[in-house]
Amino acid sequence: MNKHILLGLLILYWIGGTVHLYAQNQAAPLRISAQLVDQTLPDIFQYLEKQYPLHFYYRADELPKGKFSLQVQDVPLESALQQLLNESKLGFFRYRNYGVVIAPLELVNEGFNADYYQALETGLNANAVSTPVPNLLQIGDVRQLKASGKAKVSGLIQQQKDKTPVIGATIRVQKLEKGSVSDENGRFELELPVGKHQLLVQYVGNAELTQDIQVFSDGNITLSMENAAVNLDEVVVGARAVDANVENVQIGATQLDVRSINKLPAFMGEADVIKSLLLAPGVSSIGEGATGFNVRGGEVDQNLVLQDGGIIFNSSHALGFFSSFNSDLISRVTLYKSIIPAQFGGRLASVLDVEMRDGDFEKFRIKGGVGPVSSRISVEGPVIPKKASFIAGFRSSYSDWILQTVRDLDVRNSSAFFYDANLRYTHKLSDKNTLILAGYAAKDKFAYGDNFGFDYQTTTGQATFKQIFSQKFYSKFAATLSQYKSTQYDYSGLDASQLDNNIEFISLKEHLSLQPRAGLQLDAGLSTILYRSLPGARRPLDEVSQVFAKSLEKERGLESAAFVNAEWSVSSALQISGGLRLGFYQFLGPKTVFEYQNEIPSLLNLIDTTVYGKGKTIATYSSLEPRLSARYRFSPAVSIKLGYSRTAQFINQIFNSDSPTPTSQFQLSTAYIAPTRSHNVALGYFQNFKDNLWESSIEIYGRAIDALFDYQDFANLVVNEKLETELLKGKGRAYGMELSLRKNRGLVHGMLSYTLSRTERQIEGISQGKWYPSNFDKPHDLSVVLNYQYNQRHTLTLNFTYGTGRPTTAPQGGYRTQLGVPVPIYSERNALRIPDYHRMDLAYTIGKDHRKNNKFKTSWTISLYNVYARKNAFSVYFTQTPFTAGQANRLAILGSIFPSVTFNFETL
Amino acid sequence: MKKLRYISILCGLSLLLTTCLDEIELKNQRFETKALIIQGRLVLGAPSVVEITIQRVGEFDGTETAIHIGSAKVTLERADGMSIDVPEVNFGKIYRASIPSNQGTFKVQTGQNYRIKVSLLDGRQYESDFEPLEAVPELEKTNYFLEDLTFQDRKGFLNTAPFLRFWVNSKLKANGNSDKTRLRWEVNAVYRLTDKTRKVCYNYEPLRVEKVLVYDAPAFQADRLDTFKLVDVRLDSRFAEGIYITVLQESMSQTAFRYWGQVKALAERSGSMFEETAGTIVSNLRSKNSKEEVYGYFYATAQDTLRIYIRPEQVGMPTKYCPLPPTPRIGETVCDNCLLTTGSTLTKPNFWIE
Repeated sequence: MNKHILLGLLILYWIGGTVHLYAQNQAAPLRISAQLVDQTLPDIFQYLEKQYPLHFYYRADELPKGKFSLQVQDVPLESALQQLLNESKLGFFRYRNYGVVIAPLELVNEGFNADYYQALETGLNANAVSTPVPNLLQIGDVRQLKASGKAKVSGLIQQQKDKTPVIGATIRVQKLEKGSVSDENGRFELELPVGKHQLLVQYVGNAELTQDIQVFSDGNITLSMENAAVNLDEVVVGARAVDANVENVQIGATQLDVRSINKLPAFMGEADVIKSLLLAPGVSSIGEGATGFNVRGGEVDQNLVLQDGGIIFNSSHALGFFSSFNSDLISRVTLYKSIIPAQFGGRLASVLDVEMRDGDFEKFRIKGGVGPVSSRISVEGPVIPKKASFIAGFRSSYSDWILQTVRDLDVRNSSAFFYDANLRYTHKLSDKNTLILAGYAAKDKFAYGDNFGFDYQTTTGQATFKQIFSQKFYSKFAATLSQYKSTQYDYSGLDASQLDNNIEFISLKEHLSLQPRAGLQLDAGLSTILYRSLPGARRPLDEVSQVFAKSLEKERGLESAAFVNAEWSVSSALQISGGLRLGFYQFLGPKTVFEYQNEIPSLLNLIDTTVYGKGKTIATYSSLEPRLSARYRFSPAVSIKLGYSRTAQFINQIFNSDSPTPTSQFQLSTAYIAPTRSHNVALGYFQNFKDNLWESSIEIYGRAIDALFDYQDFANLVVNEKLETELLKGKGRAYGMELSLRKNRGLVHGMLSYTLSRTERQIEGISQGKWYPSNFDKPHDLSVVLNYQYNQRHTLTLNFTYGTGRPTTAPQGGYRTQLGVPVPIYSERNALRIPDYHRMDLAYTIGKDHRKNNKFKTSWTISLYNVYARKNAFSVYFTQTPFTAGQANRLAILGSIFPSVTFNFETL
Repeated sequence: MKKLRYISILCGLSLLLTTCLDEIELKNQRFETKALIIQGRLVLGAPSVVEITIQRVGEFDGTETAIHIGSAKVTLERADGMSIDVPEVNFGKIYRASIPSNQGTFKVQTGQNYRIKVSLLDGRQYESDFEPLEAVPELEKTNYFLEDLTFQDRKGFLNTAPFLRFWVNSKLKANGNSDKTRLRWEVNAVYRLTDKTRKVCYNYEPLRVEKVLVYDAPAFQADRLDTFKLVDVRLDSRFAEGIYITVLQESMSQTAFRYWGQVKALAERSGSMFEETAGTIVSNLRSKNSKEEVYGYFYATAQDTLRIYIRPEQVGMPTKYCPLPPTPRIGETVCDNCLLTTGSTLTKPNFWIE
């Protein structure tokens, strides 16, 4: 490479700016004479340079080592060189009057056309007139310039401090309408005309990098980015690349700036990834304390939540108040809303892809935070400097002191505790091979007075092997072993019992990526997941309990998929990402399957049972899932995008409540419970203003869920071996419009997102078969985040959210039993709405000291959550006593203002 | 660190100020048509009694109460086709028939299935499913523990007070039955109250009506119930002059139990985020000549009853209700006239033996 650059420099130096490019057939005829016997080629070239106005350019390592002879008398230079190089695999060409480039024959034989020379001319002249540029990187070898006059520049963007890849950085070629985004390995590729260019590399949280390059031919470049000073302009939530809003081909993809999470006002000071995502359009939840989130009208269990590719079945702590992700350990959070790339599957509505980061390869660092109810700490550093590193994180809660202050007796006697721990070891086996071993463990323990309690835990182990076959071809293989276990306790009474559920899986996934040429990336792979679940086992909790012990049979399912995806830049304006995913699912024995008359599951239709042996296939389902996303860029600041995806889901969570409990069982698709399936479409218009200072977008989406189920009233879902008899089949639809406006920099910056949407269902047996709103139908959903950053250290953040009250089923009338017990008569399913939700939060961040010499840096975040203490209704329920009329009651999970202070620290 | 502690205390205080549960107005829909409620119960005995009520649905918020419908033709029918008429009494508030055990043509027996048919004056007709009448296991004993219990008052403050915790011992299998029987209980009180005119009233009061007391015996391991707690009743002036507690135990068919189980589920809703979606209880009655929704339930049952008398000295001589403290009042009070209390009578119950 150094020789390459040296040669280029020599060429440029010698050729200078005063000469003109000559095509080979236009060169001035030069006749030479020489009598040289048994000499090396360099010696021969040196002789000719001394005798004639010629300069030879070559790479010494490409010249044969043997002896050559040149015995000619007054022959054209070209004839002499052909004679000289006749038996070698070398060729030559001339440019300008006296330049002779010696190069491998296959290069020379390429059809050099006018474009080539034009490119060469442009490239060389560009340098010739310039004074040496200290920051100039030269790429390629002018002798390897292709006939097209263009070159592929492959690059790697990495963090300067720890050499970890920067994922999603925007690389823009100034003055050209070209750009790229670094992939998950930090790599990018650009096809550029030969010549001098200036690259602008941007990534949120990093200082902008400007790099001059001189391109001669295909080549590689490595660029290192530095962290920006603390509290530089940061986007709160959204696309990470500065112009990703317009540039990214994937419609519906939202990326979270992890660095800004800690600045957002947070409940009890605990920064939360999922709660931050709720600020994005199209993402909502049914209220505080609810587990999970809803995307574009999808159920909570229709989101595939991945941590480093491994499925997280319950991403909530403390029954949903916090998420299970430690923000200090995360490198990237991407949410794909309904339009899902082909490499992901198995869920209908979205994919939340959380990537953890590698530990520092060069030095040890400690980072942490202390809040009123929880604390976190992470340690990272090299195991083998520059070769292997680790990062470990731990979070734990200590919230019981708050519960003790609450007046309610049951709450006072309650306890809530959680912890989670991550460990990740990264070993660069070579420049091309990396092995990552990761482990994750999380546990929650919750007890509500002496009434009930939950324990649930996730344990995951993972091995990932990344291999770079070439600059254009790499693979990622991941094996994951995971288990989610949950237990519900009913402590008192004759029915004191313990209810256990669990699900475990082994997954293997191979993902290959190939970039055959600039502007085209191919992805393909295979994945398989073997699930094993215990749908429910109940046993008496103590000797007093009269509950029968009952355990359902374990269930097994094998979900496999093959996928292929192509991302193709048809032109600088048009980019298409299209793929296909073929899913195949088997429900496996051993299992006893009930037989129903006419295959209609009903207790009245039960006629027989069939016993399937171990490994026997009970039911199979397949799904052909095309995926498409396309972007057309009208200008650097305006684009439209559209997308379509077909999705299928073979595992669902069973719950007939507003929010799933930690013990809501995960139910595999069976012979009677078919997979749920959805068509998803989206169309969007994206425009940035004032050099990406402002971003705006409008997206409309539609989803047609052609197979789903709901529950009949008073369904018995717990430890029920005939669960299918409690389910009602139907279909669903969701549609809406998402608006987003964001200001990325400035004294005041922030974002506004608004969603207008509906999500409805039609189930035979519910609401007389008419369409009815789903539990999370929120027609209006608004989020506003404003940051007032009056200097680099101090930021004031305001967050306001508003949402239409979600639907509820309410009594319309009633009667009393003959003894006087009131019996309400309920409306059709979800016919009414609870009051609208709105909340304002404030956070004041005293940022880290940005003096470089300070090795221990601290910051403070002071939050006021629910500033005006609104008692937002989580739910409305209705009471009626034998002596009083019916009354609606509002259950507000958080009925007051919640101040908190979080102290963060970091060693550098 | 001092600052941090101070703010932490603020956090706690803010929680003290919050009330997470309160009443709200919710715009509700009203029924466009007035649906019908038909409720009935056939109780095996000597004589057996069947009681039916027919009403229109009332508004949930109490703005319109259920109206009784009279002049209907009601019949009780056995699965073998035998039937008897159930005549209207008390101006249509109830339809009641007593069926002597020695009645030759229509017998009420365990193991038989019964249903009701209703015809209104306007021609609408309704009928129920056949309901089996199951024998009731013997209710062996009832008594109480006197305990101090901690409870939360309406303002959310904790208090401790003495309670009587009533319990029962019962078999779960009726004589001659191999299967356990599902059970339901009612607990009623009759207490004596003497007003300042020395008039003695006997007040009938169902206890803890809001608690639906059911037990799904086949779903539990136990073969009998011992000291099975039914209700907690606060020790107050009702116990000051003597009180009878009557425990009534009913047998329930599987379908009737499902109905009462759903009534219990709705009665005990708390608004928790994990609570199942509410729904309307499906009736076992239907219209014969339209798609009109009908609510309510008819079931057949056998009963066993136990009664205990609690003397004031057994529970620490609670303070009598009368006389009331000398504060200004408008109008007559219960202490002026004990008959003002709903369910009050001057007639001494025939079981009242001191």
